[in-house]
Amino acid sequence: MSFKDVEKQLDYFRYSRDEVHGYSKAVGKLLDLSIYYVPDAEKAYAEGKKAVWAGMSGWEIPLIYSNGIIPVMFSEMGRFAGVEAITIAEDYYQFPQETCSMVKCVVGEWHLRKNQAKSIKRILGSAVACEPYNMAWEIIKQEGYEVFNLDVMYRGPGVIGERLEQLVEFFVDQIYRVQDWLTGGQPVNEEQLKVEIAKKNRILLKVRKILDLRLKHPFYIRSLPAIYLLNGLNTYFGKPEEFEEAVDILIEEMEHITEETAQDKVIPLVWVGGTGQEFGVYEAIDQAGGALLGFRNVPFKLYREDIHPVEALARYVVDNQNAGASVYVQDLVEQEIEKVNAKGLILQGVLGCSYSTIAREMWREHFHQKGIPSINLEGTFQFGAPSGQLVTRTKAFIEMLS
Amino acid sequence: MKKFQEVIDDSLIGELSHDTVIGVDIGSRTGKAVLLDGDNIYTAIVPTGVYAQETADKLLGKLLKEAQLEKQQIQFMVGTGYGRVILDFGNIPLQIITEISCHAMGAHYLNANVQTIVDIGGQDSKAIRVDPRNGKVVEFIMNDKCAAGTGIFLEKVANLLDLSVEKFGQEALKAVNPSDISSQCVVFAESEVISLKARGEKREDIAAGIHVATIRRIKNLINRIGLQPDLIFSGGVSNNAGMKKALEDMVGYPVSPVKLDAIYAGALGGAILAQKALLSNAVPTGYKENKYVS
Repeated sequence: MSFKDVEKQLDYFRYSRDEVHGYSKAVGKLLDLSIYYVPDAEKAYAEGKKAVWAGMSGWEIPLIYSNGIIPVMFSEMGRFAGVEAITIAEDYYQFPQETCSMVKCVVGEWHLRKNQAKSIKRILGSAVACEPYNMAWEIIKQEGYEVFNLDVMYRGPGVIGERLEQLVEFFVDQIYRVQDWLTGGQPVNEEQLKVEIAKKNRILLKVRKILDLRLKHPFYIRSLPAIYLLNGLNTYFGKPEEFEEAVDILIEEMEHITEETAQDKVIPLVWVGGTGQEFGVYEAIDQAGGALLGFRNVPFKLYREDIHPVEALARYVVDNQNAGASVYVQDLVEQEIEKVNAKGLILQGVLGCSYSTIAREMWREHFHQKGIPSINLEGTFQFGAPSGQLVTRTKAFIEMLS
Repeated sequence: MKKFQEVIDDSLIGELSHDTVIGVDIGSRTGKAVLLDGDNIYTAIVPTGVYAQETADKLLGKLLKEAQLEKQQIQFMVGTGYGRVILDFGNIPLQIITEISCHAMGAHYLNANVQTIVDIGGQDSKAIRVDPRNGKVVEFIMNDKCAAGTGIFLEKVANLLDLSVEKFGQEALKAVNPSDISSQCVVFAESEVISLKARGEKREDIAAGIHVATIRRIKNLINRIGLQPDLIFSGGVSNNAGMKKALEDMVGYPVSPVKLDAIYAGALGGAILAQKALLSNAVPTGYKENKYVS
């Protein structure tokens, strides 16, 4: 497959796997895990295994696995979605066109599955303050889905001490409520949850090692698999053992790279955004000589193993970059810039998402003051290639830095 | 055909080589190309057809014919513009560079003091800050969210006023009381123009109002990157006298004159970048196999 043949979102994966990274068994395995994540989880569910749709917060994944349930990240449906999903959201559910394209896509996909007898019908919502998702869950409940949505937890700037402890206490209570919903009232299996937390920390450290190796070999894993490595760290694509194996092989491969990369050819960038589905943007970055080496969602923290496992989940949430206030993300991005010696920031948001796009102005101003240029990109969950202008902006930005 | 001395900023002529190169800028409405050969500059322009490659081939044919050159004499090409992605010229080494970088470089060689470029094309508009030391982009911003502020918008309204695109700008210059156009959306602005016509407002006033409304969007782009003189107006809309006046009035600063139609700025920049690529032995970036090369 040549890049000219790439038409659909899945084609980008196949192109990246076969043409760009044909030399890496590990990247191939990683991309395969991602490609087959949702269909395999749905198949497993149809065959009698337990599975739930889950969000992207991360903390819930060890809890879900500790109950023997497969978490299926609903935003991963984006790359399978076609025009139909979006039009269902806009025409059938009358979502305004400017509503978040991710939410529209996901709702459309759930709609398409609603009459399938053996499709996953339980949704664990934890979108913090994402109002379009909150609305979407209300709508999709009417279609026969069972939805559990957590209350919002927000850690404002400077929240420490007693107030912070109150937040932890609040969130611990939320986690027990999730456990009730997940299992129909079964208590938390503390030992199994500890195992899952230890596993998460182990794999997290391995992924960090890969990120460190990428500083030395920035072009070994290009943008698309680099982003999906971090996505996979969240859910393991439903197959923890296989994901960890892919990570191990990748470390092995990267530790044995003999060629030295001429560092003056590298344009190190920090990706401040989510995944989006406009994979052509990643290709544009690669072709222009950019290397996504730093990330907003970098796993900079470990789960604590010295406290009760439920409290460890809660503390992981309130202590990490997505705890609420955008200043936490800003601080982390600052560390990433320093770590990877970034020449620029790509501030990516999903079209129609005020949650991810407004804070970008604050970050842009902050980093411009420090002499770090940035570009705003609006990604969508649209089907097919990104708009020419989006690619132009991306490439022009990297040309500017080169 | 023109000589370098007739077009290029005097202080930068010495930086150009005598290599034979072409810059091709395939915009959404017109394709432009510039050929540098010896100390000669050739230009060509054609409407963009359905297929970008066909448009590019036409441009190439016109340039080769005028310069009396064979295709194999072209040492390097740079493709730019929205149609750049699919260009292929067989054995001629080709590099694909965005129009933002090309416009900056082209404008720099037309006026070495340029620091700000307003580029309004058929489907988007851009404000670009340029480093006067080297013609590289310092910062840029694009309006690609809305057709208002683009050439296609002006074409649509010109049609509503029964004017050609060329006469639309001239008509605006006659205005005494430009109409107040409040809509910032093409669809609504069209409705507004129809309402203004129905109310009997003068054509020149409506035309001027549309120009002012369009430039209002551009002004926000300029404010974002900061206006630093000299200012150059490039892109297909730069030939519209009404837009130039509206731009100067709105930003309170004159557009610097250049010695080549600024519609060619992107193609000229592409040709200059092609010469630089030759000098630095750059690897062509037209479609290539992506293999792990550290």
